[in-house]
Amino acid sequence: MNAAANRPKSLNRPPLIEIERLEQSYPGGLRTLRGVSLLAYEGEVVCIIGPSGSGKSTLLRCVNALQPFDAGRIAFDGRQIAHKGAAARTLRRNIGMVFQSFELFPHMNALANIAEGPRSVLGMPKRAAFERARGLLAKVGLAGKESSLPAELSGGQQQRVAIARALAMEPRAMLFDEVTSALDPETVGEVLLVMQQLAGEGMTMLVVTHEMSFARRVADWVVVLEAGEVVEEGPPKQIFDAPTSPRTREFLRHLAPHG
Amino acid sequence: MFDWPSFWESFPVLLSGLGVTVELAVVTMAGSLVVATAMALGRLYGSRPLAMAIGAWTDIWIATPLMIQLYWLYYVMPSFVDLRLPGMLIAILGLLFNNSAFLAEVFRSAIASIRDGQWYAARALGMSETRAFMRVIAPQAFSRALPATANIWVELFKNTSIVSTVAVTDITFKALELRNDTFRTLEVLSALALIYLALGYPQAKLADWLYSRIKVRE
Repeated sequence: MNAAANRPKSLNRPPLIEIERLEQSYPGGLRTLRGVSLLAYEGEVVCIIGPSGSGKSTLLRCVNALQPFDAGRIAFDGRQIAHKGAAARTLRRNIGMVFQSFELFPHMNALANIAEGPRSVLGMPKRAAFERARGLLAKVGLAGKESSLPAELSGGQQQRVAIARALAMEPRAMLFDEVTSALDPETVGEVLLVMQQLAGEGMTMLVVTHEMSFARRVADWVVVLEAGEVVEEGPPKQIFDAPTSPRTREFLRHLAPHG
Repeated sequence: MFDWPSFWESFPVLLSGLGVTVELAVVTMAGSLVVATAMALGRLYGSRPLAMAIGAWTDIWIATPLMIQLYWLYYVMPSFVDLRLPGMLIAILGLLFNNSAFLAEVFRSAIASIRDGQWYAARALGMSETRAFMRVIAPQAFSRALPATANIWVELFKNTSIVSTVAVTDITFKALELRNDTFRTLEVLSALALIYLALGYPQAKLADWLYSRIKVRE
């Protein structure tokens, strides 16, 4: 794999996120990851696609130490990640995460949700944290929803607040775990738009998604995961227009039966 | 034949025990909130032996009748340990052990009912476990536990009547005493029931109101 040739954003720098031969299994013996390796350079959008149960979400949770793994290593900015304690918390501060089921804090309004990280983790004074939150809420297009509780917002709005909440920590990278899968079709677009905007600003993003058009349009690099293994990886043009692996072709055919 | 004067005259006597009844309920509940929180946390996040010990302790106090518990503490325990505690203290201890066992179960299930994703979200921001619990899990668990806690309070208020069996001079004790003096069983016990109803009814309504309010929020 010639990084310089295929991945212009690498600029011959070392990768920001480096996953090497990662192996993970759940108690009971189910092996979710079987030696997954993956690189993400600063400013890249790496989309991870593949059938359900292929280990995509587990992989993301490993990256910010929410999920311990059995073997292999993950380095963030050249430093190997720790599973526990203060080192893991520092890592998570630098990596934002957005979940399929939003996971906003239901007892806090939109503004307080976004301000919680800076206040609680960075020790930012209340006023400054809310000021930052206000700016981010506007950035995701939800100015005016400051005092809305999550239950009063649509799925798409909740997910945009969740993105703003992660951004409030000013992370160096963002992880998106099937963030549009639980949304009504009409609100998917607004969330993808925010993500695309973020990508345009140079945010490093690891995106697990079933939105192939998003991956094709926004990704710098696409990784196909199946049964805990990387089947194929490459620029979106290669993956979607000329996949070399029969398993990739099979997966893409299932997604688009009309195509 | 219902003797109205006897009925009315029993009120001042019974109400002289009201202070004790209220004190028992309030002290027990205050203590229970602390003890039950510790029990719930120990059972959820403590070591395995600790969790099992708390589980066994809880089962004992939930599975036996309060009256037997009070009898045991008051009459049986002193023959094991050379310690004779005043009736009021036994009453508070008995009510506390009993009430906190029920309350701990309420707290434990409320905390456990908060889905894992909330923990993930809090930790993903970089919060420590303690911080995540205080800021994210506990406030949600609190509002889920509130209606059941209100019900337990109402139960406790009524259960205080049982402490009269260990010579604590609450309103029930006063009533039984008065009945023995006057033989006006019908009038005295009717007055007693009326007092409990007057005090308990608003509390039960409050608990209902809390239930409906929580349902709307979720």
